[in-house]
Amino acid sequence: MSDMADLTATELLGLFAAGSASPVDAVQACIRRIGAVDDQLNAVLVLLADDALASARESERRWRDGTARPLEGVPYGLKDIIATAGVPTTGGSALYRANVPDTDAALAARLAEAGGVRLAKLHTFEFASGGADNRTFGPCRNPWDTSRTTGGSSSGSGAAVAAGEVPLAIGTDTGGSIRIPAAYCGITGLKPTFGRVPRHGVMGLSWTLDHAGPMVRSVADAALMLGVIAGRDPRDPTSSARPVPDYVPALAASARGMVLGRPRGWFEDKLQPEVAEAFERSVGELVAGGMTVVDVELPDVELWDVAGWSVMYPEALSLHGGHMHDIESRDAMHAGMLTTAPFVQASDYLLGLRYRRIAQEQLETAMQGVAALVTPAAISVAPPLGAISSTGDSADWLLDATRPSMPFNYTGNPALCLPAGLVDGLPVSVQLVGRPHDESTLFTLGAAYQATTDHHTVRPGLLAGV
Amino acid sequence: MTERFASDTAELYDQIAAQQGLAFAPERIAAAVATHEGMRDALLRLRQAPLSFIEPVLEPASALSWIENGGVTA
Repeated sequence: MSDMADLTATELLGLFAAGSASPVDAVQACIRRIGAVDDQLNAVLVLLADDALASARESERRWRDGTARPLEGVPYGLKDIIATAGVPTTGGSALYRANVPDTDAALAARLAEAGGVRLAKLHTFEFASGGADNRTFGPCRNPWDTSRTTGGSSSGSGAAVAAGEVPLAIGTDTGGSIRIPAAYCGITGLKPTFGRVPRHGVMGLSWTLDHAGPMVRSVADAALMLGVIAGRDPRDPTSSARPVPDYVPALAASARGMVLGRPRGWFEDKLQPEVAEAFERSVGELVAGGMTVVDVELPDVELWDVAGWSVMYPEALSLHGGHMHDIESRDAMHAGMLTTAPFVQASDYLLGLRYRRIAQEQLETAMQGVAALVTPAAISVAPPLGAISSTGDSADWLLDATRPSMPFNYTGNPALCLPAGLVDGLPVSVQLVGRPHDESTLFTLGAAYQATTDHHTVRPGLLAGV
Repeated sequence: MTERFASDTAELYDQIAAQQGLAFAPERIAAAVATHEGMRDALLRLRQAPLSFIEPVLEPASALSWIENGGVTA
């Protein structure tokens, strides 16, 4: 058996069910991995080793008793903007360093109730604001090249899953914060449909755009994890009342003959040339897997993007306005975001909200006859840490980096990020975008892609020596 | 963006911030000006989008309904 820290949750559950390994073995493997690599990565803010081992022993008993639950004994980590009862939840900020919630976030409680083993709280940029640095906790480093950013703001979730510190993590995504670190770190990330996963207990950045979802090493694990965390919670009135389907059967459905729409334009105009070449190869792989890719038109997506930012800035200011009077004590991107916000006109915020419905109708029209859209997940490979402005100027990096992702925070459609190979030793990824509440189709397409490629199984060189 | 425009806009932003009881370092103001200037052309186009004032204006409810309805216009 390979190191258990490198196995997916699905693989671990298979071993547990067969009695070939135990949850305690899995947790210990992850703890060893964290000990071996986290000094280089800084993905883990709080390690819950004792609690995790106690939970793992309880999971062992359940496997023996035949009462195992869907994630029984599988270790996971949570981005540290997600409330955990009795455990610090810092938001990546000095302001919340001593914050210890007395209630689990809805999704955290669901993971625990499903038998998952909470092992770590994971690095994030301050209040999930994007960027590269964190002056309180230091930068999180990319396992593929520790001089480069993980992307963010689910920085620790991206690095920890890529490095085998945990097989499952939760990230959040307001403009790309699941998909960008998933792309930069070479893992699978899902931004579900808006409202599919309740946000109770998750620190907010923009209530119109915030999503929470899985960051994992396979599409199968994304389906498994979404099935656990999705569903209505009355404490989040924006959470969906739709029933949660069993996503796992979608993994075995055939994708042959399914049609993907390629919108080009906005999504491909600013690609790093090597990333553009890699994306062409990915499209070829999808076609070789029996799918058809056709061009579709989304001529006004630039307007969706600016409308999205016109919504995000004021909502971030509304939530975090208390930080404005000591703004230079905040991290660069959070400060930059907040100081951009006061200059957005109220009418443009409302325009952003009203135009959302028009963007959705444009997307609905463009998706007629196609199962999903395919775009690059990021416009470049992970940049060096020092290349991202320390002034908090979001005009250059943040707006470009979120170009493929922000439009679907705005429309609310689900988007799945899949590893698609390496460029100069760094991961590149594709993004599949589905109809709202049709994550199952994304899982069918993504599972088919991962069945015919091995990009998602390639691990960072950092792990060679552990 | 011309130097004059940036300078005038930075001064204006300073004043807007001051009206709100806020004071930002010059580099923060410069960054905010650059961000807004980068978005300006698209925002001007967005403002031209025809939005009806006759139909009920229910946002964000209608956008959320579209999502809840599986991305299908009712």
